[in-house]
Amino acid sequence: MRELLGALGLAWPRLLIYPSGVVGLGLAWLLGRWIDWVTDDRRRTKAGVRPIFVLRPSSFVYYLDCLPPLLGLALLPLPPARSFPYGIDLLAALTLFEWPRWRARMGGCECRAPSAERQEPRTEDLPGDLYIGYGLILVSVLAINAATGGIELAGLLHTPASVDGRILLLSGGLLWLFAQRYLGARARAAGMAERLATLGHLLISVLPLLALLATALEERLPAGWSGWLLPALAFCAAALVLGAALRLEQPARWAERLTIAMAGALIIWLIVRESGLLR
Amino acid sequence: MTPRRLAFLALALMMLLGLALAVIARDVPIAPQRLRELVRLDALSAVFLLLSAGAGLARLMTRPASQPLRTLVATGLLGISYVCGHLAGVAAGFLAATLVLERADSWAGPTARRSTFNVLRFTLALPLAAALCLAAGLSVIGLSSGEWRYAAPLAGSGLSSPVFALVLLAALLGAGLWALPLGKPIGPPDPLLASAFFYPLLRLYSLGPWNLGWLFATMLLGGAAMLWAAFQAATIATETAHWFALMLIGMALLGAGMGSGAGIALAIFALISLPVILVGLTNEPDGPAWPLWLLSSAAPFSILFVTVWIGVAAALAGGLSLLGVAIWAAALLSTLAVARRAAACGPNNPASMQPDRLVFGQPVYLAASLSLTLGIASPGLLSLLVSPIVSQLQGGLTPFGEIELWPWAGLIAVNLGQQPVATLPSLALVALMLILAALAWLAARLLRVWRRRSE
Repeated sequence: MRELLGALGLAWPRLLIYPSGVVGLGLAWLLGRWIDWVTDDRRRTKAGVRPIFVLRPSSFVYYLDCLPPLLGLALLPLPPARSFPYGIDLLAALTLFEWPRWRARMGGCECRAPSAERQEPRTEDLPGDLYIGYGLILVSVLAINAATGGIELAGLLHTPASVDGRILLLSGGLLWLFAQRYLGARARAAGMAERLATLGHLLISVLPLLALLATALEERLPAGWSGWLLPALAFCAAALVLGAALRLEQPARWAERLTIAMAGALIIWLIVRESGLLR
Repeated sequence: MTPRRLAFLALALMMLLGLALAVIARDVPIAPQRLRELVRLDALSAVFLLLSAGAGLARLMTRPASQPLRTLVATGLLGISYVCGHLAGVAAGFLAATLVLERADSWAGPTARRSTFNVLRFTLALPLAAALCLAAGLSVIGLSSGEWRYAAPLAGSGLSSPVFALVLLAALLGAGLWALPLGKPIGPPDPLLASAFFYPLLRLYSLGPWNLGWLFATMLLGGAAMLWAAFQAATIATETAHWFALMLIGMALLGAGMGSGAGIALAIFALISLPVILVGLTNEPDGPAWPLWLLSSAAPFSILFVTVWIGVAAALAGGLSLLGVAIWAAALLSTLAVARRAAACGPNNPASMQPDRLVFGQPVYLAASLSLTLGIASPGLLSLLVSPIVSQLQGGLTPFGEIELWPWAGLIAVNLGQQPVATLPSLALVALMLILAALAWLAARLLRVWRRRSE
C-alpha cells in the first residue's frame, strides 16, 4: 500500500506536465493541426482558423471522454519522464486510447466541436475500416510479442539482440501506425479526446523506433542529449509517416493491398519462425 | 412472502455461504473422515457454489416466466453435487437438477406455437442428455478404477479418452454451445446449467493431468465457439445477449483447455462475467446508453475487459500468441455489437446525462454497476477465488502461465520462466483516474466561472 501511495505521489508530473497534461494537450493540438493540413481540411470559421477543439465547460461528459486517453498518455514509458513503477501493456493502452473513438463512431461522443453537425452512427462503412484497422493492430501485436516476449509497453523500449527481432519490432510499430488510417485518425471535426487518442497511438508506435534510435545513436550523442533529442526525433518521424499514410486519397487500393500483403508476409514469417523450420 | 422473493433471498444466502466456504477452504480442503470423504469441500466446490447461486439469480432475472422454486431447488441440488466427494453423488445431483428445471411450456407461455414448443422441448432434452453423458463418464471412472471417491489416489487411473470425451460432450451440451451450428438463436443459454457443467470438466484436473490431445481438443472447440459467437454478435443486430453468453462460454472452455493456472483464471472469470452480461444485455436501458458501455470490453475497468485481459495474458504466457490474438479479436467484435446497441438505444445528448434522468432500478444498471465493481475488485477475486483453486489443482495443471497478484496494484501474467508478459495495474489505474477526474471537474468549474465573468 505504501508503494502505491508513493507511486501516486510521483505521478503528478506525468499527469500534469509530461507525457500527459500540458505537453500532451499541446502535442495533441499540434498533431491535429498537422493532420488537418495533410488531409487538406479547408473548413474554417469566420475568424479564419478553425479551432481544433473547443472546451465545453458546461458538459462534464465532455471531460469524461478525455480521461482515458489522458491516463494512457500518463502511463507511457517515454523518456525523459520520471519512471513510474506500474506500467501497462498494449491491451490496456489500446482500450484507453480507443474509448473516445468508440464513443465517436456511434455518435455518442460529446467531444466534437460545436460547429460540427450532430454525428449519426456510421454503421454502413464502419465494419470494413474496423476489420482492416484492428486486423493490422493484431498483426502488430503478434510481431511485437515475437520480438520482445510480451506485450508490456516497457518492453518496447528494449532493443532485441537479433536482427530479425529488430525487424519484427519495427514492423510492429509501423503497422500500429498504419492502422490509425482506418481507425479514425482522419476523422473530420475530431474533438480533443479523439486527438489525444491519435496522439497516444502515435506515441505507442514511437516506442520501438525510439529503442532502435537509442541503440544506433546513443554513443554518438553528447551525454544527456539522447533523453530529449531522440523522443523528439522519433515523434517527428512518426508524425511524418502518419501524415503520409493519411494523405493517400480514398480508395488507395494499392496502399491497402500493400499493407495487407506486408501483414500477411509478417504472419507467415512469424509462423515459420515460431515453428523452427528455419533452424 | 412470494415464491420469487423467497428464491431471491435463498440464492443470495447461498452466495454468501459460498463466499464463506471459499474463505474457509482456501488453504486445505474440508473432508470429514467420519463421512469417509463422501462430503468433500475444496476451493473449486466453494467457488462453483458461489457461481451457481449467482447464475440462479441471473436466471430469475432474465427468465421472468420461469418457476422460481424450481430454480432454487435445482441450484440446491447442484450445490450438493459440488460438495459431494463421491462420483455417483455428483452425477445424481446433476441428473436431478436438470429434471427439476421447469417444463418447456412454462417458459414459452401458454400461447406458444407448436413449432416453438417442440424446439423448446428439444432444448430441455439436451441438458438432460448432457447430464446422462456426465453420469456415463463418471461411472466409467468409478468402474474402471474401482474407486468412486475422486480424491482417492487410485481414482486417477480411471481417467481415459472416452471418459474425457463424455465429460467434454456433457459440458458442450449443458452449456448450450450446441446452439452455435444452428445459427438461429432461440434465447440466451441457461446461466445456471452453463456454469454448472464446467464443474465436472474442471474437476477432472483433480484426477490427474490431461494429455495434449485433450487440451488441444478443448482449446480448439472453445476458441472456435468464442470466435463464431463474437462474429455472430457483431454481424447480427438481434439477440446480443445470446451471442455474448456463448462467447463467454467459449472463453471458459478455452481457459479450461489451456491446462494452466492462467487458463483456470480465464475460465472462472468468464463464468463470473456470464450472469452479469446476461442480466445487462437481456434488458434495454431506458435512458442513456452508458450502462451498455460498462458491459463491453471497451470500458477499461469492466469485468469483461478484465476477462479478456486475463485470456490474452494467459495465452501469451503459455506461448500461444495466435490464441491470444484470437481472444483479442473476439473482444473487438463483441465491442462492435455493444456499440451498435448503444447507438440505437436512447438519446445521446448531454441532457439525457442529467442525474435526475437516470433510472437506477432497472437490471441493466445493476449489471453495469456489478461489472464495474467486479472489474475493479478483480485482484481480490483472483486472490480469494482463483488462486486457491489453482494451488489445490496443482497436480493436474501445467506450469505454462500464471496470473498472479501484483500487490496493491493489480494483476500480472508470468510465463514458465517467471518473466512478466503482461501487466494490468488496475488499482493504480483507478486511483490515477480518480485524480484525473477530480482535476477535470475542477477545470470544468473554473472554466464555467471564467465564462460567466467574461459574459
